[in-house]
Amino acid sequence: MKTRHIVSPQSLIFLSTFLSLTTATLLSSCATAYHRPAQGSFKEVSRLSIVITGKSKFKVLDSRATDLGPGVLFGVVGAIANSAITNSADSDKEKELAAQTAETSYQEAFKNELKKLLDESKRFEKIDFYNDVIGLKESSDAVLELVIQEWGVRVINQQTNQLAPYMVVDITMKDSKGKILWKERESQVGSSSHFFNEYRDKENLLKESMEAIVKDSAYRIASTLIYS
Amino acid sequence: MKNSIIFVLLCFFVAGCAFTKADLNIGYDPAKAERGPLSSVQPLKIGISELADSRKDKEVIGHKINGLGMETADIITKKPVPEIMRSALITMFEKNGHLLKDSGERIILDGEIKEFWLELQMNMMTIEFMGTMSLLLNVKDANKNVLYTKEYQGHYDEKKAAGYVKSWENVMNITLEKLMYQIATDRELVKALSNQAPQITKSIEPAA
Repeated sequence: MKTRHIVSPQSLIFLSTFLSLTTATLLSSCATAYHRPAQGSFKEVSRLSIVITGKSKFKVLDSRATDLGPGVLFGVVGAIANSAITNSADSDKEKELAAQTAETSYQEAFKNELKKLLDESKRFEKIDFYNDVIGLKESSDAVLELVIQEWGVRVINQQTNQLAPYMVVDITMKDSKGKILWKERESQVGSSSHFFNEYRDKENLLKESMEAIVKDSAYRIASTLIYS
Repeated sequence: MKNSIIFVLLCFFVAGCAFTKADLNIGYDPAKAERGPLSSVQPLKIGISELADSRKDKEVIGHKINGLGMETADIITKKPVPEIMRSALITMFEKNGHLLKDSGERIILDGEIKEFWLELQMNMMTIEFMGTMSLLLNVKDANKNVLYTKEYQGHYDEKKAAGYVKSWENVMNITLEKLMYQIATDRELVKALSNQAPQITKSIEPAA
């Protein structure tokens, strides 16, 4: 007697492989990293090495955030196509703002602000800044690695569809024995939001917004270093 | 075709039970409250007035979305948002050594909640949960003269494969923690309060 399959065995194998791969991809991309340092965690740290890296270019997350559209109705291919369209729309917007963001190194501005705040606090005996982990000397009590993952403007509330300046920094701090003292993905948004056209057309609005968010991010990280 | 159906179903699944209201229990956990330079000010008697709520939509703090990114139901809080924020402020000031009073206070705080929002955004492979809170805080002396005003912002985002009420509560609670930490570590606020303290015996010192 022949078994009748509603779905062919080949299809089931394909489907289960697809779902397994999708699940694995999903799970591997979702590590939650929020581990605030406990009070007194940095007591023993007086000589600190800070490595600041980041190659992320200025981002606009507008269409990507708001236009997840009917492409999904057409399955994975539709979703990918839709994603490509919205990514392209945002890339165009990034290009429109490129002239305003090209001249300023926000990584440098972030470093300068952090240095200023830490120096003012006199909390640490010695602080060395590096642009790469390779150049690290072993004379510090702890190494703080700051990776600027993202910076730009994004929609944070679809009710308004305005874009807020934002910055994401991955923070890892280890003591001289390699013990993790602090691990956090620090995302910061600015308190004022504007429409894309305003960023594009109003002179200095974007520059000032980005400078403010860089300062805010540095301030928050410095505060944790100083008071933990 | 089968893939399409399964993908759409998966999207609906990860978005949770999309058509029922989600009621979040949000609050500032005293155990997680961190001390900041605010604790270096001589203990002050502080009163916190009711906070104004100037959010566009006061009934909801977010919307559930389905796999297509369409809003399907409201996300609300078990306690009113001004109560959550006021209670968090009380906890934070107490943690930093100040006395919260209903009368005879030396400092009066009032303010305005400008944002309290949970945004869910569908990405290709993940959902992003973004919490944003914004509080305009006014610090006044006993005669209600404004000593200091600042807008504080808390933000936290997390990308996950899926998540429901517990994940959303976690995101909003961390957002609230971050907002309170901003206040506890605001050196300008410390200066404003220090001027009102009867005697300053401690300097604003770092932890070392």
